[in-house]
Amino acid sequence: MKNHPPTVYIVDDDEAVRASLRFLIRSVGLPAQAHASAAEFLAGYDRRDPGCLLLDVRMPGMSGLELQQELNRRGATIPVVFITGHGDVPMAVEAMQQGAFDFLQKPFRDQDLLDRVQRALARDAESRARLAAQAEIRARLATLTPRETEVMQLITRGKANKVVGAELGVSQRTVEIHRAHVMEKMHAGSLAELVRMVLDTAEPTQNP
Amino acid sequence: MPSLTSRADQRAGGPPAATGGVPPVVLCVRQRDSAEILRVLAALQAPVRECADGADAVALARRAPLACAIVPLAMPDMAASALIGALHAAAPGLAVFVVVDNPAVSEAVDVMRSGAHAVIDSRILSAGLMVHVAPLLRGR
Repeated sequence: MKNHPPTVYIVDDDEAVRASLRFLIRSVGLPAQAHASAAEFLAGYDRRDPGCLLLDVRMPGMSGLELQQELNRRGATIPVVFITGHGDVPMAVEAMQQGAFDFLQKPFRDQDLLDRVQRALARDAESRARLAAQAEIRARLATLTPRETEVMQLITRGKANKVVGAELGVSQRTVEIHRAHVMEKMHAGSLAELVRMVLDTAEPTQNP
Repeated sequence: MPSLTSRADQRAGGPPAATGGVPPVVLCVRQRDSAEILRVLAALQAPVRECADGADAVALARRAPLACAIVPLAMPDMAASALIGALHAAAPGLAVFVVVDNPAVSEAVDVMRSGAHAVIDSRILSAGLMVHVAPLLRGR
């Protein structure tokens, strides 16, 4: 992950809007980068860069909603704040369904926008920290041997060493040794911590 | 298709089985436009349970498999945002549709942020149900 400060990206086809948003964002000490089109933004955007995106809904060429879809397709998690002068409810609902962080209708107060930008940047920092932690856990999981992985799966389901040994056809002492290796490699101070790590890296289930 | 109240179920003694073989039902909290909602859901051949208020809806979500929920913006005992949180605690990932009368964009965004699957404008209720709810029911 890159460590440079977060950038507020602005994508709007209206030069005056771009200039005023850039000025406003920079007035509070945040780096701002403005683009006249979705294509221009995509050409220079690296999803590893922290920040948030202020995005006009209606633009010639790729629209704001289409850009959001493209970012989703690329797995980008950057929070998107839509800004529009022609917002309607179906459009706002669609944007939020696709994961928009917020949807702001013109005219708005400068402070309202700045508040949303700060919240979006905080969200981005949180999600990046979470993803980094998950990546770290996955890296530790990858260091386990197949047998250690089996032992870990069983002990995190609450099974005792004796039961694990019986299921795997090994002695209880062997399970204890594997278990110690698992705890050491995973940097887990307790079984509860190990269970939490496993859960943190599990895919969420959805209903329906 | 008949609409049953969940309180009637409670009075009848015991929850319906939430196991395999029971088709998921659409939870509908009673509202001004209930008749139109029930008519559309009947046309979609969706089993419906109508609830009197938010607490009733949460109780139903805890004991029956649901396809989705259709709720008004405000109920006698709680706002939609509070109900969405409670429903998601009872049934994680449940799609909750909020019917709002002539919503402002900011209002719709607030409702979406509270976890709604979609906001349906009551002025175009049938169309909204067909656009948002029907595809989900077809995927049951």
